[in-house]
Amino acid sequence: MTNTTVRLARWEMMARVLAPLAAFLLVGTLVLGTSRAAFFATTDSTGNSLAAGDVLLSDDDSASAMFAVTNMAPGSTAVKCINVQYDGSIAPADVVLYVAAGDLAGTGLDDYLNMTVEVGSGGGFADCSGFTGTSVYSGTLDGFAAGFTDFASGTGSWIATSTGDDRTYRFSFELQDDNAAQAKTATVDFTWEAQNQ
Amino acid sequence: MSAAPTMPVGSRAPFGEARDSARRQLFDVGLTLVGRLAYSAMIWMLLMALVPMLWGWRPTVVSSGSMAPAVRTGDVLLAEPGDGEGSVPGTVILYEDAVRGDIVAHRIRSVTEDGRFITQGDANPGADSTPVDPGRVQGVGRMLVPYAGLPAHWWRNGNWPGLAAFAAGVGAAVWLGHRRRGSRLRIGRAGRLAALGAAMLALGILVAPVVAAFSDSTSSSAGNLASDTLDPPSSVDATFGGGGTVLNWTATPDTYAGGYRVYRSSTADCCYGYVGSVTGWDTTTYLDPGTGGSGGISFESVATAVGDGRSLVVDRPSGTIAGDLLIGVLTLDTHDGETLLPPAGWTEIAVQGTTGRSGNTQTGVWYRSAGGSEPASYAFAWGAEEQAVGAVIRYSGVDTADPIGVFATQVGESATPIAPSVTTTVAGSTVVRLFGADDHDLPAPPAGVYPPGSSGRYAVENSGSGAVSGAGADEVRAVAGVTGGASFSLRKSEKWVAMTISLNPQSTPVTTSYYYVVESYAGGWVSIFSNQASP
Repeated sequence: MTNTTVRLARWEMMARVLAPLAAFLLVGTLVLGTSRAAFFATTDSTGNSLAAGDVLLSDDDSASAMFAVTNMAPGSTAVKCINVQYDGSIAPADVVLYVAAGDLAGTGLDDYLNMTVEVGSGGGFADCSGFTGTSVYSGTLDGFAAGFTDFASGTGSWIATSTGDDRTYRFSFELQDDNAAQAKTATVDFTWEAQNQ
Repeated sequence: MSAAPTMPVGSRAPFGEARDSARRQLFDVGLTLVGRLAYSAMIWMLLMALVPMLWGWRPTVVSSGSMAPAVRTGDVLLAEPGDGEGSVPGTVILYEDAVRGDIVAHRIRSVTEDGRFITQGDANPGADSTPVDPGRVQGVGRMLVPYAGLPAHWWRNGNWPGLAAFAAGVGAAVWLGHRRRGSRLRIGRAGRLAALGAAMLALGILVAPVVAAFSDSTSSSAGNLASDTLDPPSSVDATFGGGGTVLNWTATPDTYAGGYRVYRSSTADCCYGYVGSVTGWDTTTYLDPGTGGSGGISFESVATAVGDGRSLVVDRPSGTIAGDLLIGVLTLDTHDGETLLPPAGWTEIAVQGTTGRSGNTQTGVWYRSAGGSEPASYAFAWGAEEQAVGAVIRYSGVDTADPIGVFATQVGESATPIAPSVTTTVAGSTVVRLFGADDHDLPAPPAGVYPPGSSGRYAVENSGSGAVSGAGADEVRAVAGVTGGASFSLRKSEKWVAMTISLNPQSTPVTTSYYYVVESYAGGWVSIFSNQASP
């Protein structure tokens, strides 16, 4: 036996013993690090790491409001369409319509606005012509905002089966013939949300 | 380096040639170390993923990436069971998704007033729309073992290349760690190590996967919807006239208005009562009868008759009630002035005939204030057999004590019988214009007979030789004064007798002041009371 051989044999013995220990330290450090990062970092670091194209939804309103109707009289109507498109890469995904909490404001006109929501195809934000669809809601705006508040309770749902899938929603309002409806306002934001199945 | 001196080979050298240089041996030892490190790490990861189960923590395999980069697909997440009570924003909780029933791990972003959690996946652009009820929270994330669930994830998703690579990796690690002398793989150890891979797989089968839900939303502002305020009419003006109070106003600017309603009170700024309405946005006047210094006269109905003989029976006008004024008219074809006999209880206003050789006619007019029980008809009589036409006209609102104001008669021979002018002395009078003419020459249709500006009430004629015709019309005169003559129209010239009679309105002493408001309405909408006016 040479010194070298002996030394190597020792090294090998040490390796056999040390490898599990080193692995333990390695894994332990990793677990500790990731756990700390995941569960004990109190900073709210959300929304900045969305992988492009996972679940994405867009509409064709170009950030302009659907309605700007003033001076509505009894029986006045307002109709508008909007096209909602699924741009995500994960499919299928559920798309749902609702009014998020706090997105209905005004001085109470929502109680007196009869509202119909239809989901279908054809038409778009600029022009409803060509739209065909089926009604998913008929009632007051107030009832809509109270009944459909989030993804779980929303309505007008459809399943996006591929990127580029779209639907057109037609919103129709009619002011009730009620004296209490005079001089009131309502502002509302509609939200469509997509979630992967 | 190949020139380095060859080291003596150790007697323990197990394989073949006396060969290994020290460097080669060092390399072998290194490989062993690497192999053992690798599978040891796997064993430790497995243990760390499972051992916390001893104190109740629950391992789950993360199956999607909405919590990236903090939590990645294939990580094993260990959660301490609980309902998350007292959790602060930033905490990662496991909860049952309200829609799909999956277990979701997302971070608490805020806590609502009623104790529900607003959550969000780190990789999602916005918060989850559905707040999490504490009842659905299953635990709080405590420990994360990275990668430990990857084989299980691959197994679940059918990622066979990934699994194959994993198996190859495990095999390579084991082989490297045990390939040297004295480390030769024995069955027991091989089994244990093979079990490692199986255990890593089993991890995914034993523990539920955690779904991290991806979501995105788009919202559109519906903008402003605002209802109008229905404006009332403005500049309301009230004056006496026309047998009552005449209201005039300026129309509301809101053209969708359906009309106006008039309210009256005897007290200013209070206690208005509805009196009537008019339709049409652009209707801007209303007459409230009986509220001025004089009452209003209204034509109510008329009955006519034609006949041939010595009398003519005319029905009672429909709806006759006590206090109504009845005007009876009889026209005969006659040569020489018959004596006309009205029914009992009628008072003569005028009887007039034409003169000449032939084609003469005679007309008589009488009046009566209707009593409580009027007969069903009235018979007017004369001496000789003649053709005749007659009418009884009914008015309400006539002064019962002094019904007839002024009257005038005129005779002529033309196609335009002229009801003569009279000068009324009472505001709100109604002038009745009528004529009787020889022969049957009413225009077709008969409505063409009436004078312009008068409301036609009847036109009647009989036929054949010796026929006569007659018609009546009236006009409300809001102010007292000269009425001017008014011409009826026939198809051709005949002898005629025409009369104008003014009726006095029922006088109502002005005992109270009246206050009016006019509101506009549109469907169920009404404007506010803001335009009180008083005559």
